[in-house]
Parts: sequence; C-alpha cells; structure tokens
Amino acid sequence: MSEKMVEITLSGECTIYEVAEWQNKIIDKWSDLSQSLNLNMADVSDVDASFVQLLLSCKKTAHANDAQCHLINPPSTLQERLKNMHLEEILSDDN
Amino acid sequence: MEMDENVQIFVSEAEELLVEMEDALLELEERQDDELLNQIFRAAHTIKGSAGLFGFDHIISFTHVVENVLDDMRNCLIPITSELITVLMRSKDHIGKLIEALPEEDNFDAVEEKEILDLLTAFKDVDGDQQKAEIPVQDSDTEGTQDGDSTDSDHYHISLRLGLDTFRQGFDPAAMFKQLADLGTIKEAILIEASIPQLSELDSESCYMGWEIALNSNVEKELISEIFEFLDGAIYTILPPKSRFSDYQHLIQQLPEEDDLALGQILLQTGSLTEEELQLILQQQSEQQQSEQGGEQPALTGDLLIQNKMVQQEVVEEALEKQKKVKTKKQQAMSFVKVDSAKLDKLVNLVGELVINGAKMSQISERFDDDDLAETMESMMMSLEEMRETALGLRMIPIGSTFNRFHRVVRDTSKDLEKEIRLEIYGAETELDKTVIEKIADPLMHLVRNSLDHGIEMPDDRVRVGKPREGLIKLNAHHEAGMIVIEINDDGKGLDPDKLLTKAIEKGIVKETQKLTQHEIYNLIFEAGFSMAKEISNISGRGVGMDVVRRNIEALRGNIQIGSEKGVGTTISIQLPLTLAIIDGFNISVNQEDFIIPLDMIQECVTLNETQIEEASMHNYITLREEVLPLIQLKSYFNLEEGDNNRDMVEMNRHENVVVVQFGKNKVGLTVDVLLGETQAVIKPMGRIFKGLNGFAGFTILGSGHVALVIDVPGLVKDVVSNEKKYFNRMEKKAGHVPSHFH
Repeated sequence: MSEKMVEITLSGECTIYEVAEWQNKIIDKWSDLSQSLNLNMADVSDVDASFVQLLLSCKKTAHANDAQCHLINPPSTLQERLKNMHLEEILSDDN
Repeated sequence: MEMDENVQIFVSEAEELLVEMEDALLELEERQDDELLNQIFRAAHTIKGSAGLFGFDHIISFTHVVENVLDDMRNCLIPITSELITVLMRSKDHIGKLIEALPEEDNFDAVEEKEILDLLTAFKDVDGDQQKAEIPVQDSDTEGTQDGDSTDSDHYHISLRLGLDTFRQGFDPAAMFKQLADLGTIKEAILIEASIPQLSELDSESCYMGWEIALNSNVEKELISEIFEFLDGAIYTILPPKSRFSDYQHLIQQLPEEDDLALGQILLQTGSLTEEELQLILQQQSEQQQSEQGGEQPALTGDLLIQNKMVQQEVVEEALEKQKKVKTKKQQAMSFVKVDSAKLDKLVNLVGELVINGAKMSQISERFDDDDLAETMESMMMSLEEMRETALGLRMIPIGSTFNRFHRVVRDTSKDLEKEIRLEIYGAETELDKTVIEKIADPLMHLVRNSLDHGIEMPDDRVRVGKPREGLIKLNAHHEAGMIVIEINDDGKGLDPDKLLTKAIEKGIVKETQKLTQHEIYNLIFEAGFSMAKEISNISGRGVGMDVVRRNIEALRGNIQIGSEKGVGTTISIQLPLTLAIIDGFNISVNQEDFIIPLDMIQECVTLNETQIEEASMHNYITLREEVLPLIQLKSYFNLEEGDNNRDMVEMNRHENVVVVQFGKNKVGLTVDVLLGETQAVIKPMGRIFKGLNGFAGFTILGSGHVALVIDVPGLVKDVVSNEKKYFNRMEKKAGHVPSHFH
C-alpha cells in the first residue's frame, strides 16, 4: 500500500447538479492512482444517490490500484443516506 | 425517439426468437431432445423478460403461461405430444401477433387467446405466479425460521437494476428502500458493485446501481411491484417466498452482470445459497467427478439433503451456462453489425454510379499516352471491382431462412389435408440477393402448397401404388451458370398430360388442332385461368396463381420450368439471376450497336471458319466440337441490317463471331460482329414504354457514354422459340411438319 496520499476537501451541496464537477476535480487532483485518496467532507451540506455512487466509484478505483479511499468527517446527511441505501459499510476503511 | 428504437430492437429480436422457437418446436416433434426444449424455453423466457423491460404486460402474462407449460415439459411433468406442439405453435403465432400489434397492446384476437390458454391449462393447471414448488428447495432444519442465513426462500427475493436515467429523472433509491421497509423487513440488500464503473469511466449523472434484496413480508407481490413500476428503465424480478428452484435458475440466467461477477457471487446474491453451501456443492461436484472417473456411480438416493444438493448443482450449472452464453454473445456481437437494408441499397446504388464513372474515366485516360495514368487507372478499376463485389456481397443472404418457413407450412397443411408429408431441404446455405429472396418467397409458397395439395397423394392411395405412406417434398437450391436454381420436387402423382390437354382445350387455352410437345403441355399450368383442382380448396386451386407465379419470376429476370412423370412426381425448377443491380458483362457490337451479355452466362467465344459460316447461313446452326449448336443471328433478330448506311464494314465482318451462352442445360450461339471485351454493367430498368419488349434485362451506360442494351439470354431464347414456333405452325399448315432446334 502506498504511503503517499491526496486530500481533497469537498464542500456545500454534493448532488446530481454538482456531481460531474466533483468528479472532474477528483480526477484532476488524484492523477497518481497508486496514492490513497482522502475525501474530507466536513463542510458538505447535502448529498444524494448520484454522489454516493461517485464515492463508490472512487473506492473501486482505489482498490483496483491497490490504494485506499477514506471518507473523512462524513456529515450526518451522508451517514443517513448510506444507511437508507444499506451501504453503511462504505464508510468503513476496509471497504 | 430512443424509446421507439428500443421497441423496434425488441420487436426484431423477438421475431428472430420466434423463428428459432418454431424451428425447434418442429424439430422437437421429430426428435425429443432436452436441448431443443431448453432452446424453446429460453426463447419464450427471453421474450417475456424483454417485454418486461417495456412493461408490455399482456405479452408478459401470456408468455408466462406458455413458459410454465414449457418448464413442466422440461421437468418431464407433461409428455411431449403432437397435440401439445400444435398448441405451442399456436401460442408462438399468438405471441407473434401480439408483438406485431405493438405498441398497441389491446389489439389482439381475444377468442384465439382464450382458446389457446384453455388448451394450455388443460395440459397443466397454471395458477399464475404463486406456484407451488414441485421440487423441495428447503432444508428441513431451517424450515419456518425467520432470521437464519439459510437458503430457504421464506422471504421475497428482489433483484433490481436501476435504469441509467434514474438520477436524471430525480428518482432517489433511498426512497425506494424506505417504501420497501414499510412493507416488511429488509433482511439483506447487497449492492452490485461490479456494475459501478471506475472513476475515469463513470458518467456520474447516469445510474449504474442495482441490488439483490431479501425482504421479509406478508404482503401481496403486486404491492411490491408497484414500488418499481414507475422506475423507467429499471429491470426487476420479484420472487415470492417458496418460489420454485427453477425460478431462481431463471433469475440467474437473466441477470445482466457479465464476467465481473464471479459465479459464487451470483449464487450468493440471488439468496439461493450461503457461502458454506456453495463451497459444499463445489466440493461435492469435484468428489463426484472423481468418483465417476473411478468408475463408481455417484450416490443418488432419495434423502432430502442429497436431493437439495442435486438441485443446487443445477443452479451451479445454470450459472456456468450463463457465463458461457455471455462469452458467446460477446463474440457474436463483435463479429456482426446490424445495418438498415436501405443503407445497403444506397451503397449499392452509389457503387453503381462509381462503376459507370470509373468506366468513363478509364476510356478518357486512354486518350492520354501516360503510363502512370494508365497504371493508376488500372489499379483503381481493380479496387472498384472488388468494392462492387463486396457491396453486392453485403446484400447476399442464405436462402435457408426462407426455406425453413416451409417446415411449418408442410406440417400444418399436411395435417389439414390428412396427408403424411416430409420436407427435405438442400442447399439452404446458397446465397441470393436480399431483394430476390424477398420477392421469391410468395411464389415459392404457392408452389409448395400446390405440391402439398395436388402433388402428394393421400397415404392410402400411395400405399396402393406401392409408394411409402409418407410423401416427400424436396426444396433444393444451387448455383448453375451464373444463376441460382431453386427446385421444388415432390414424389406425388405427377402431371397427367392427357388430362392437362383436355382441360386446356376445354378452357380454350389451346385449340384441338394444335400439336404440343409433352413439355409444352406441362407448361400449360402456367397459363392464366388454368387450375386442375376439382374443388376449390383454401390451400390452392383458386384458379389464379401459377400464371402469377410465372409473372413474378419473370419480373426478376428469372425463368420457370416444369418437369413431371405420371405416377412418379413433379419437379418445378426456377432459375434466377444472382443479383439485380450490377453484373459483369461482356460488351459486343452488332452493326455498331453495343450490347451487353451477362458474363456468367458466356461459355466461350468462337470465330467461325468458312465451313461453319456456310453451315450457319444455311441452317441457323453450326456443328461445334461434334455438337449441334443452335444460332441466333442477332443482326437479323434485332433488324439491324435494313436501311443501314455504314455498310463498308459489313463485308469485312463476314468472319462472324459467335458467343456461346448457356442457361440451365441449354446452349445457344449468338452471332455478333465485334467482341469488345469485359465490362462492369449497372443494370438500369427500361421505361414502361418498352414493357412488351422481350429479350432485354435493362440497359446500361457504357464508359463512352453510349447506351447499351443488356441481353436477357433466357428471355431472348424464349422469344426466338416462340416466334419460330409461330412461323413453323404457319409453315406446317402449308407444307407439313418442319422440326425446330429449340425444344
């Protein structure tokens, strides 16, 4: 596992209206996929299913490159949504 | 509209599946085979599944009943009988009609549907979705428990794949889970991670999510369905508690995931097995294989546990089969592309224009004495020729699909007529232009029906004359001298020339005084208004038909012949050109007029020696390598001698050239002035004003810009024979019998 990591801070609304923009930002900053990705979500105010899917895709990409994707400070709105969709386990670092 | 396109794809795929289904049903009647049964089942199942994507509920509900009967046939619960096959055929036809009526779902024959459903129900008591499991799928240890991680299906199993536009349509999957939770307890919901793309491939506004869900609930299935009904593009399957094992197998079959999803995962996600049980099954399988290799019989005693394992093995096989199918499907998808036939027509037309202009350019380039130009032109013309071949090849399809339709016709019609008739097909792989195939289908149908109705005798009559009870109709296609020959042969009673002649005289088609050869008498059946049927049946014998058949075939530049022997059978032979659009031609000139003869028909070109010229001028035939070759003098036939001012050349061309053409088994020599060589000819149809003109297939524009008529060799010969016959008939009256060369 790589020791280097990329940290990206997400803020405000993270819904279908912004999801493509967030995806581009992550792709830009996370160019070396062997590095682990930290997504700091402390200032995120709202999320929807499309954003959850983006997170799942980040996790999958990290795993495929033998790296990790951590969600830092997940807001309650995200936790609640993940629970509703039976996806709580993606908050765990093992996933 | 994207939706319309998808429905069109569904319709065309369903039609293909129905054809497969019919073929397999016909074969199943002959030979009971599990794989055929599986094929029929899969066809019905796929149609039902795809109809589900579009919410065509009527098709789903009808096909579901058919599918259940098929499933019972697979499980040997219903015996395969001819009556059952007939009902399934009718079901297949009905599904075809339902699909044909789309997007209208209400427009169907309710009486026919009820009849079919009643018949199907008589074979099996179908009671909709909530069927009792015929094979126990529960382990008795876990029966009745609510919260154990067991394979027992005491819960609803929901397989859900959301549509790509789910997010864009503002639908929130979390809301769906909430609704599900209102109906019961969600025991398990496993996300199909494999279908979510990696970051670089993700279209983040599209939805790739799907779940396998286990729901404990006592509500009706319809209530759960309602949650998903409004999800556009979603694929879902709801299996009620205690669903049959085969339903789980089908679920595995229709899951959209491909190779990313390992076999074990599929099984786990469908809720059919736990991980431990899967391991156990795989272990059992390998042990069983080892014991089989060691010559021991695997233990197949009837205790429940072992039964369970056998069933589970079926599930494993099902999943393996699915993986195999995904691979084959992928390979097929890579090697075939569906193209609108109108696009192919356009391509062929464009290539035609290119051929004309290429020929023009080639002639222009000859004016310049430039080696480079000549070389480039030559290479371009070669590529052009290859391009033409390829473009025409795209339109060539095997005639087999048209032939195969007749299996059903023969089966149903022979039953109606209480005859026993077998159909044999030869040369199904013979390729023919798509347009020709489409246009030949109806005439062929008529001819086959004629053979069924008038040709083949009743079984008892056949036995009386020492023939087998079962009659035989053969359809055969093969290439011959640039034409395709399609033969319809039956071993029936054959044509009776005396009866035919009497009938023809009765109908005023021929005069009593007319002397006809046997061949000519047989061909009388192609005359308008000629029907031999004593009673008009719905199979044939409506008095219209054979003349229409001949006209249709002649419109395709084809030719139809009949051969028959009383008591032995009849063979109808149709000769058709391979393609209608562009041909390799041979350019000849007669008195400075250009003509094109299709190259495929040319056997050889001969320059006549003095003796032969002498012979030709006296008898209209020559002896070529000890065989008599009838001649057609194009110059006199086309009236090109009279009133011509350029007669300087006439004497120079006394050494006549003969082009020997062959069509079918006949050979004829065409005398011409100059042989100009090969050329590619784009055949253009002639205007209506020339409709009555025989012997020409159309015209073409040569590289020089001149117009050349394309000679239709069979048509020309026929015309010559008929003119000659008229002439000899007149002569006969005056001076007795004079033989003709053309018979």
